[in-house]
Amino acid sequence: MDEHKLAELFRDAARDAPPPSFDVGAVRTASARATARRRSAVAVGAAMAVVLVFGGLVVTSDFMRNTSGDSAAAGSAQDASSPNVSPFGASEPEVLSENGSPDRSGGNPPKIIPEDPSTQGDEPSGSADRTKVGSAQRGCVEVDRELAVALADELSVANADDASPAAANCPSDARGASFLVRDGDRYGTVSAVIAPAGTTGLVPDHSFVDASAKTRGGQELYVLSRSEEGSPDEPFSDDLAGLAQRLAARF
Amino acid sequence: MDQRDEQEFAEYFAARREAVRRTAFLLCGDWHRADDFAQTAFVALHRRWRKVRDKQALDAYVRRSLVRAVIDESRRPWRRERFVDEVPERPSGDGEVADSVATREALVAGLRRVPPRQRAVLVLRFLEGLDVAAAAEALGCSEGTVKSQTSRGLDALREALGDSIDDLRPAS
Repeated sequence: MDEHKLAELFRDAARDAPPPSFDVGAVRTASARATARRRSAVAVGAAMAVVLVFGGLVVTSDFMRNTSGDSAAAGSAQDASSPNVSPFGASEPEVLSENGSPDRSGGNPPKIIPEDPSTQGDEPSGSADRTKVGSAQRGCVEVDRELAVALADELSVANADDASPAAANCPSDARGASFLVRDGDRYGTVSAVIAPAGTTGLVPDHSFVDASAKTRGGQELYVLSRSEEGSPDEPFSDDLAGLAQRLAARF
Repeated sequence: MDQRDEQEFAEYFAARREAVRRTAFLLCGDWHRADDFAQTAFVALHRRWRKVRDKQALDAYVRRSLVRAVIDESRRPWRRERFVDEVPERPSGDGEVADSVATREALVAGLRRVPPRQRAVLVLRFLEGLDVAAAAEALGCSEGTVKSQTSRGLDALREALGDSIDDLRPAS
């Protein structure tokens, strides 16, 4: 077969071309469009990468913060002071204003913090008019993490981090925690306090019901329950003694 | 691109458009699609104009873009070419013009029955006049592959055309 003849046949087959349907302007336009598309794709990709990296950093730092916060708080009872914590300024316990939305089943208790004079000089800001009393009452200002976890477990509270300082008239070497809980139609604050054996006068007033039990370490564990406004009775008041015993068995 | 680059591209485009369209036509067998493929190749060149300045390299780049575009499209399921048993009807008529038209159409129809890659080898070698090495470069394959594809492509073209074109009959 003659390659020249074959080439001639090929050239002849493509000879009668119709008018072209594109010109150099169309090529330039399509090129600019393709370049813009590529640039926008690169920009979108870069933006997504930035968002992913930033999101990853936020999640990681949040996770790290939670982890370090948990480990620092566990067993140390050094949790940061709650906004509900009030300084102790009077010798007699005082029930502060009540707080609480009725549909909460575990969280910050009302401001039923007994006032406790501080001897540490750590008067919080905004309380300059408080009277400083030189008594030794200091306990229960902060949440005792260990007690909070145990109490949350007994009361079936989902998050032990929702604990607040115990609503009780604590001596200085007592430690405690409390939860705002719902028990059927009852609603109120349940506090647990571990105080040295022989401690009395822990219950602020008659609006509380309480029970106590001896811990294995010989200390006294008190459980106090107080109903909130609208609640027919104190939560867990039927089983307060059992609750105290179960908690005491853990310490 | 700056003004001068655009001017150079416009000159190259004007000089090569028809040749590229003809190549595209024999590669795909349809002038509308040929224009699409040719435009695609020129757009690719326009986007890389600053990087491809050598005249020989320009032709090779456009040729490579064109062949790839045609072969890639033939692989897409919704545009995959289908082989048919019958060559389309040849135009009837008498005289030299009618024979010429019939020969042309028979060749285009026969080429469409040749597998895309073998068809590309035939078009590059017999329409573009490339030697084996240049065809291998355009297709991104070895020279041996070009030779074997040429042989198979010619066999496939002969088989598709039967006795339609005398020049394609084997010499023996």
